[in-house]
Amino acid sequence: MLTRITCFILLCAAMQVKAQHFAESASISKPESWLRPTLWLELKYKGKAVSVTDHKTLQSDDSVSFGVFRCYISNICYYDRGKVVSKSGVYHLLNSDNRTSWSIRSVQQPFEFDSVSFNIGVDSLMSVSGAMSGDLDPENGMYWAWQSGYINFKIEGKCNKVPARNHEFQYHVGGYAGKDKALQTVGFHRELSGSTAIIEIQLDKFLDGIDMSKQYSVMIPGPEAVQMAKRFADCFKMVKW
Amino acid sequence: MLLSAVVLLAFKTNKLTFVVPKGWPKPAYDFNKNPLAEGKIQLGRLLFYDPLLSKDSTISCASCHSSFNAFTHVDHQLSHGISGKTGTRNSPALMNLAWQKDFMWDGSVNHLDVQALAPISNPLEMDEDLAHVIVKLKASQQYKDMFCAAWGDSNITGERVLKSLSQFMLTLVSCNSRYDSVMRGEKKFTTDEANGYTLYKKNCSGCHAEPLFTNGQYENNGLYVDDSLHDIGRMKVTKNRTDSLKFKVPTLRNLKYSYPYMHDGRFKNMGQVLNNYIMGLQHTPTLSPKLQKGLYLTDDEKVDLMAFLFTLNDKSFITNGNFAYPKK
Repeated sequence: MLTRITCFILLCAAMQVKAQHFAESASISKPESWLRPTLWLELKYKGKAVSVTDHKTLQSDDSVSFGVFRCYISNICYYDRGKVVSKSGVYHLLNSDNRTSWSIRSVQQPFEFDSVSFNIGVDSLMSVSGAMSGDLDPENGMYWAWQSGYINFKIEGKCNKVPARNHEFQYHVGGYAGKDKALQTVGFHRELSGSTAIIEIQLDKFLDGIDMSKQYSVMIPGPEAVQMAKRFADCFKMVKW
Repeated sequence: MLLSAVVLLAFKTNKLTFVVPKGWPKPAYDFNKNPLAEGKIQLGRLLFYDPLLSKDSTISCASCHSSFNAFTHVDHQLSHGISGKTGTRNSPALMNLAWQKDFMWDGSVNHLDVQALAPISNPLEMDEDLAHVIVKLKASQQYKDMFCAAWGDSNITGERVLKSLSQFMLTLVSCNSRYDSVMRGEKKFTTDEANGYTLYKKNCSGCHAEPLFTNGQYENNGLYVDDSLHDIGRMKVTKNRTDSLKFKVPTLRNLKYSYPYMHDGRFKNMGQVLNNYIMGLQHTPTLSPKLQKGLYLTDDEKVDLMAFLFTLNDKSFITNGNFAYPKK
């Protein structure tokens, strides 16, 4: 079975012909396409923005509320006709506590591209490299204390279906070694010629397949975390470029 | 009195060089990522002895890792932390950490720089979280000044706290025992000690290899499983059946100061340890192949072996003022 990223690369190759046609028929100046590519991520629940009202609680609808959302985005790669034209080694932490973390602009000079891919999480090399700075600093609460390794994403909140204390659910998804590897990669091709990609993280899609009355706590690496990581990756939807 | 210099002061800069004792292997720690500097070491030392790192400011690293006891918690099978809560394992003696590739009895920590996260966050030990430790440090002018002096600006981050602690811990090198003097040609073993050395090489060196007196591997040394602790050791981390009941081989250095012994401190003295190897081995599927045939020692041989092990005690390590509580 082909992985998501392999399908995606094949799609890019198929786009080659289409892209060439586009370039040939392009007018002399397309100002938008020469701006630096930016990823703009938005947290959504059933189409509504999950807004940051205060430090602790992100309101959504009646039955579910979110308290914490943090997620690493890394290895952002832009492609042009199947070739990598820009690769970023930076690790970004999307953090419900930090509004500015949701917009990620490329630092390179503007370039042509037709698709983008990125990792959701932190790769294994960083997980064995000790304490690092900035978004990777363990003070962000995204590095496991009891067993070394990064937490790829953390989603916490309340749902009346959860039988646990305060109806709280906690998903701390990580794991980097062997079968426990929870890192996922997603990719999108560029339909239009804008430079900013608006990507929605659809939390309702994430919670839909989870029976919250039974699975409300994932705190360790393992098969459950890997499955949850895949489900989470499926919730990243490109809505506009 | 000869004390081998562990840390050599570079004349022009604040940078220090980590000196590897002669004949010892290359350290596993990558000093390029965290070069030693006096300011950072002293900052790390202050943090190590500061109970501020715990939730109610009662427990510091030194509470379970005391300098007079080779940086372990003497006479405690299992350490107790905050509010007198009892932990699940014996506190390891901290020494020669630059040569370790992983940490904790089950190797759950893969880098020295992130080791401190474990006791800081453990609800039975310090019950705090790093982000809150930083809030507390930022409220102290003394710490702001020390971070500024050590790191160039008064920004206090998790990375800096952890790397400062690492720097202090890396200086805890024990390489001046009587055995070390003999290896350097400065002294000679007595007859008993020399016999003991031969017995050690025959029976113990497979796992407790020179000069660190541990091979850093995980082994099952035939201990029966404690009913109340059910500690499966390394298997908890790797989830591999072949790692069941395996624990990190501890060093044989400074045994005089670091009792009781084993991951749960079940043996009060070395006599009990030797008896376990001689007559108490539990033969489970993962028992170390090196112990399959058991250990045979006469009473005289036991005495000689103990005499040799005694030569591994390093009084200069225990009494080194640079490792002790920082006086103002």
